[in-house]
Amino acid sequence: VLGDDFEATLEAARRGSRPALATLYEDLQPNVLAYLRARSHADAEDIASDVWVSVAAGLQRFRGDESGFRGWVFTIARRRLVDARRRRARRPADPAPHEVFVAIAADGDPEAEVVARLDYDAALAALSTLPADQEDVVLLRVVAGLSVEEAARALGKLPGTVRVLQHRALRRLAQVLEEPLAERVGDEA
Amino acid sequence: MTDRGDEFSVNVPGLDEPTAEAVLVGAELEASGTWAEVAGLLAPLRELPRADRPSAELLDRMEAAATSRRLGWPVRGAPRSVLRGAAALVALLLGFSGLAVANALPAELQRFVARTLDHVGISLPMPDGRGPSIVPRSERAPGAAETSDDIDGPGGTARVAGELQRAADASVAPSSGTSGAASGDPAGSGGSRPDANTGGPDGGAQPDPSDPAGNGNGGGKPDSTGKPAATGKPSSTTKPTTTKPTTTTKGGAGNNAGGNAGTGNAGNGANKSGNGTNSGTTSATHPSATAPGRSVSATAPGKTGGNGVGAAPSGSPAATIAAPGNGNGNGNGNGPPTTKGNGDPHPNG
Repeated sequence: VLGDDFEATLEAARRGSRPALATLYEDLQPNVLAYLRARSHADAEDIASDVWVSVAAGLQRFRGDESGFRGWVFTIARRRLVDARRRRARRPADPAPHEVFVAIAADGDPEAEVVARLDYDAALAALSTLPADQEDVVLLRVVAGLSVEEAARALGKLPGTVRVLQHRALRRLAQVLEEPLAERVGDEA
Repeated sequence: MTDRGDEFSVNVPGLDEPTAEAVLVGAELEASGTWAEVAGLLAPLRELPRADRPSAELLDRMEAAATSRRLGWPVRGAPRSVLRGAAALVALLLGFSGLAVANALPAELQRFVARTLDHVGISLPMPDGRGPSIVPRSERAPGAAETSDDIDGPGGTARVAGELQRAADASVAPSSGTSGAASGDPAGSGGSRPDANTGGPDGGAQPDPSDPAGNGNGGGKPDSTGKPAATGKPSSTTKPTTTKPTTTTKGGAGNNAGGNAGTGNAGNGANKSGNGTNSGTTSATHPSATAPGRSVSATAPGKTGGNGVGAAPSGSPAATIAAPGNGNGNGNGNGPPTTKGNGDPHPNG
């Protein structure tokens, strides 16, 4: 979060300042990349590059504070994600996921990496049971770290609608966690 | 607290707003339980990947994008305003065109628009209620009024009346007169009908014996040489086929030389068959042949030709018909077949 420096950085970035553009990138790229990886494992890095080029191209049009900027960036990220899916539908490809190379190059504890990976995949599998709009809300709130208002801007919805969607999403996730236990109890009975 | 049974098959504890927010942002939950498990499920998603500094290539693209965008549209928001203006203009044109086609514009404006667009081949209704003409300009008949405004305009009615009168003159035999070119068949008075298509007279109208009125009409075959018929047989009682002669000559048919000159309908002067213009003159010297010869040149293109009208001399030997012209007139004489005239026609061709 840039805080008070955001306005000056944004103005410099509008003039094409490379340091200012790099600052904006470093501030938000982890969240953007996490969000894109959660939605598209295959080509998240490429989509992220397109997102930042689009952000740079649209800086002159943007009006708002830092919170609005975060929501606007994820609006672009979602659009580029849709574009990438369309391209992939026209020209199917199966590139190796970025995580594969990360795991190969990792110098940490392989067991911990695998466990973390399993937890990550389990979380995504749980989210995949949600309707698309609820899954989007949870990803933007949890992965991208957006507030309700920022997520509402990114999704083009009202904040109240986002609250309703996240509420339903959490309840359904709780149901997903409870269902195996209920099934076990039912089987024993 | 349990959830509504109709939405979830498994009972889950209630969820208030602070708890939901804590689960989503990863805050520490006060109570363990279902929502703590949900928070633990979502925890791996919060681990952000390590983000390196942007590559030089990506920075180049970002810089170019930011710069080109600024230079491309110096006025902020211009594209949207331009699009709005264009959309408004299109909507205005469509609405205006619809009103013009529906004849719903004010009268003066409707007339102006119809007149203006007519120059480019688009016909719109005039404010007086006339329907739109869908006939393209290229398919209109030559000489036809192009728009209703041509008729409505100053002098338009007079022009139309004149056109109609000329058309009537060209198709209906005058009451009297002589066509110098009327060199009808001696066998009968003329009366062939000019063919509007070919210009050639429809000769061959045969005498109708059943007509007691004795209106000779037909049979006359035009002679393109303009050679007058020297003698004429008594006109048979014929029935007019096309034009009704309005003059009944007193002269006997046998005396009406030149096919009883009668009304000679010249062919269409401007038609393809090249029927000559009926330019003959008549000199009727006998007082009874009072009707001056009237020669009408068939000049109207595509219309019925002029009518060479020959007045049948009423028994006057001095009746002289001069027919110097090369006309295709048809003798179209009227007269009782039994009446004998005293005239000695000497039509001079």
